[in-house]
Amino acid sequence: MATKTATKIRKAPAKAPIKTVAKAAKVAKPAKLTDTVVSRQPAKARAETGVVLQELKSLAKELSKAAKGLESRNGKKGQPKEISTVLGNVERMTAEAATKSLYEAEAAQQGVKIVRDSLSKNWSREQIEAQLKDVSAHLTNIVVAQEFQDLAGQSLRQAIKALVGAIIMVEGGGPTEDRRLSQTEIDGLLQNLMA
Amino acid sequence: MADRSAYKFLVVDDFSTMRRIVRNLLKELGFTHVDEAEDGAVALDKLKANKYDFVVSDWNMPNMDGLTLLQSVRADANLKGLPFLMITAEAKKENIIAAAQAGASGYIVKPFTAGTLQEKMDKIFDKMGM
Repeated sequence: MATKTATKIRKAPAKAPIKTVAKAAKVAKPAKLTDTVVSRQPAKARAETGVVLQELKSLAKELSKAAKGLESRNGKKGQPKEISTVLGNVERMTAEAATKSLYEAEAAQQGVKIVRDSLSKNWSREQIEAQLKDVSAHLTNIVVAQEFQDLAGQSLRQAIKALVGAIIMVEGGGPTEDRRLSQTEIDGLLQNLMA
Repeated sequence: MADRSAYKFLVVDDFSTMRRIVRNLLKELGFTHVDEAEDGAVALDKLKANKYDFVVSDWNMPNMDGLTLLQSVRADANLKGLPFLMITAEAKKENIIAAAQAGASGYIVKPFTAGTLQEKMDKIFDKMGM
């Protein structure tokens, strides 16, 4: 049933400890980047992530530079500074997503290795199943980490829009970024509104 | 309780990556009947032409945004009871108020986790007796 399956999904914080099914599987502690076993296979993925990140970073830097140039020419402080903040956030988001993806990929690799090793250890079906679920959870976390693309994309659009606005010297101040609420604050607010 | 795994979802987001993420998460939660729409206008057409049990929508989209889609859904006699979950980067107080006033069933702010999605969906299911 859906609800049962649902309960199997775990949250994906980078610090989440990896559960193991056997004592022998203790090696599945959060993967170390220096671990030779796990650092072999994600190399391709790491390289690809690196290229995307590099491109995003250089784009962010270019835009940031352009924003600073506009600021000094126009003597206007507001917009370009906001743009710098937005672009800084893009850089942070991409870095976080990459770190999280790499961590989860390496943890999944480690999990696969444990299952592979179990072939010579006479594991029960339940043990193997539990370990595979663990690997699956890491893969789900990698999927979720890709949401940075959506957020970064929105931020870049916002920055580009603000930059274009500054270039054609259209006054209007741009959106003053109100404070973003956290999920907990949103839940509380919704509860009050819907009561 | 109904067999929730048979529910049909419509995921609305202009970013294909995001649609894919939500689709994947729903699959992990046991929901395999998932359709997608790239904006509110396409979504509304799909909702009118097919039967869906749940809508998961972004806010900022071209053509028709998520809030307008939500208002259109609530204004349509055939669709007004549809559970509607907003997943968006819009996290200002006025956004939340507007969504609540328009009749959103739930609101998730990006970035979010699989656990948050599960929690909000369970809450909506319980509230709507699904």
